[in-house]
Amino acid sequence: MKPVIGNQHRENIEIGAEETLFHIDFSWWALREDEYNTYFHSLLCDKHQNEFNYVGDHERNLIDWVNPHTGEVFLIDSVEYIVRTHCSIQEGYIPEGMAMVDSVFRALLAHGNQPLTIKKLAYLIGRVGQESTILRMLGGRKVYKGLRPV
Amino acid sequence: MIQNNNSPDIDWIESFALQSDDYDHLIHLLLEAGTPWSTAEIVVALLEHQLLREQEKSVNECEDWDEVYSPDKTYTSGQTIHFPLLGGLNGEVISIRNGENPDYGEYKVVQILCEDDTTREFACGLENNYLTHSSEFGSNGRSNPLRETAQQILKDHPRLFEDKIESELLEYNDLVRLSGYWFPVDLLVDINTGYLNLAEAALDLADGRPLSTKDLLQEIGMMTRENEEALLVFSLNYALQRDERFEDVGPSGQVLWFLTAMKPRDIVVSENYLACDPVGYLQESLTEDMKSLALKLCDEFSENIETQDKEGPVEVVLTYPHLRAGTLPLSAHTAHLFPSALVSPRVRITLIDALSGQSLPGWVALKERFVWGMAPLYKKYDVITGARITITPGTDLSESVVSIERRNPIKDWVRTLLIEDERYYLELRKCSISVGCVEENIVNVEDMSDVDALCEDLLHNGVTLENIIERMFRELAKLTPQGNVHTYTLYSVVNVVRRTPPESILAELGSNLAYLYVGDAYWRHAA
Repeated sequence: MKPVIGNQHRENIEIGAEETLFHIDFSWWALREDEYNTYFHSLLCDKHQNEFNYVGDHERNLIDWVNPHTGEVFLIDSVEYIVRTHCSIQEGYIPEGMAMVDSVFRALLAHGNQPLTIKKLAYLIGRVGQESTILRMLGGRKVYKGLRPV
Repeated sequence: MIQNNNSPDIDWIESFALQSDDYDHLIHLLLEAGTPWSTAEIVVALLEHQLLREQEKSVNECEDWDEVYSPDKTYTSGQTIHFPLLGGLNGEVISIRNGENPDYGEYKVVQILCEDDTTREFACGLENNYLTHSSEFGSNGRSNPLRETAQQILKDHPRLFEDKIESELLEYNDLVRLSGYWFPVDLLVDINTGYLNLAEAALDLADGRPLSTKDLLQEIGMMTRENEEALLVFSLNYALQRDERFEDVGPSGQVLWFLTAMKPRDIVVSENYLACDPVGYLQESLTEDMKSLALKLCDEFSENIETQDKEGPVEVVLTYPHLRAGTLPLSAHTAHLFPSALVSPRVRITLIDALSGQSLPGWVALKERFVWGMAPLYKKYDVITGARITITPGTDLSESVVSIERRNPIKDWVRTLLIEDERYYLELRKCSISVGCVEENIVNVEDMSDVDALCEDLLHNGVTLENIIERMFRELAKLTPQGNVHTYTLYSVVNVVRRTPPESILAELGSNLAYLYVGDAYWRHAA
């Protein structure tokens, strides 16, 4: 196999970081319902963690979530709705030192799952300069937490 | 193309360039505003203008459709809708249902069959502005969404846009930039020669005190209504800047005018004593010990000095060039004590003698790295080379308190530079010392004018730094029984005849086999 030349490799990473848009693919989560419930429960702020008490302890309703930028409507679970509209705008929602995958997930959720570039994601999670690492993580064969290119 | 108001396309951002009608638009805006705008204000206005152009282009492309989507409107089945914020997506309403979220109040959800055969749902009939940017969709919202977007873009990429737009505007000769503010040159208030003469007279009568532009406007009787003040200040600054009679001597963020003719001539003379021609040397010839020794001398021409953010008083050990010039060094160690300026080459300050409370006019020469105005104090307290001087911050950066450690005069044997028939040598001579000094740095000079002449001769005859170091080293070695020479002493005496940073001296000592480092900052001749 022809080895990738250093400069060309760097160039590819730059193009990937600037052009490819990533989002949370909820169809990935649809196949993992239990995991989805547990994970979204962990995203709740302290106040709502108490309110919802235990994972799976409440009736799961579907509710309209309207993308504030485009007006598009998505029917989502009520816990997810609370995370998007309340918990994601609380201070400390993306704590320093949090795992990169979780930080990216939280950043995308806070932005209404609007597809974002690696550059923008790196900025949002406070990891400017680590774009190539984020790209490797999100662009690899294994899908983490439903994070995929659009 | 802008995909979404909160996340402009990266290509759009990077390919951003001003169009010819942007300039006309800007001139029109400045004309309407009647006051100069900062670079950031201009960037936002121009971004907003380009965003509007993009939006109009997008709307023009959708003329075949019934409606442009907006969440506050209502729609009926069969209507065709255009979505400019979704990359120009078009679709047809196929069904309508009630909204399922009490947070948004009463609203409907339309199901759209898009032209790519997908079905998507959109909110409609949202009476209250629940959506954070509902006015972005083209409704008649009271806020200005394009401006908010432009501000957000600038916030996300501040340097990119400011640098790009600034460099493009600088090429456009119709605009003038002063201290980060812009205005069309043709619209400036005409400040004629008569007003400039009055400004000169006002500064002349101010007893050597610099005046702000507002003060000058008042003095020359140009103060008018408050809403015209910014433009008048800008216009007067522009006129004064172009006239050689005036010089801006204010620190960063403050414009203070002074008459060029009233600046002390001695400052220019001082520059001659302090001028330092860098002597090339190999960084590798300096060991870590040598670098640390050089650092301790705090020379203003030392290279690669990294200092932490300093605060509070600083003690400097006076070198001969500063004693001769009546100045203090403006180095990385003392910079926090004095004002800096973006435009003014020299900044006017007040030096306060801590012992008597006397105030003296001082000047910070930024480029030349010195603070002028100490000569009266050096004379008053019989200061010699090697004296300790403490500089303390004043009430603000325009004031510095200078403290010279005074002692009862004692007669002591000190190394003295003597000059006879163009020959120079060192001797221990009895000298009266009445100020606190660092022993290693003390050098006495009996006649400064002789030293001036010697320096001229050495330069004129092309005597190199190596020769001077060799000569001074030999002279200093004679003065001690062991023949050891302290680095600081050599630095101090070499600087009497040639302004040299310590690195150049240490590089010569380190690379010349004639010198041997014996430790603890001492050197001796190799056997």
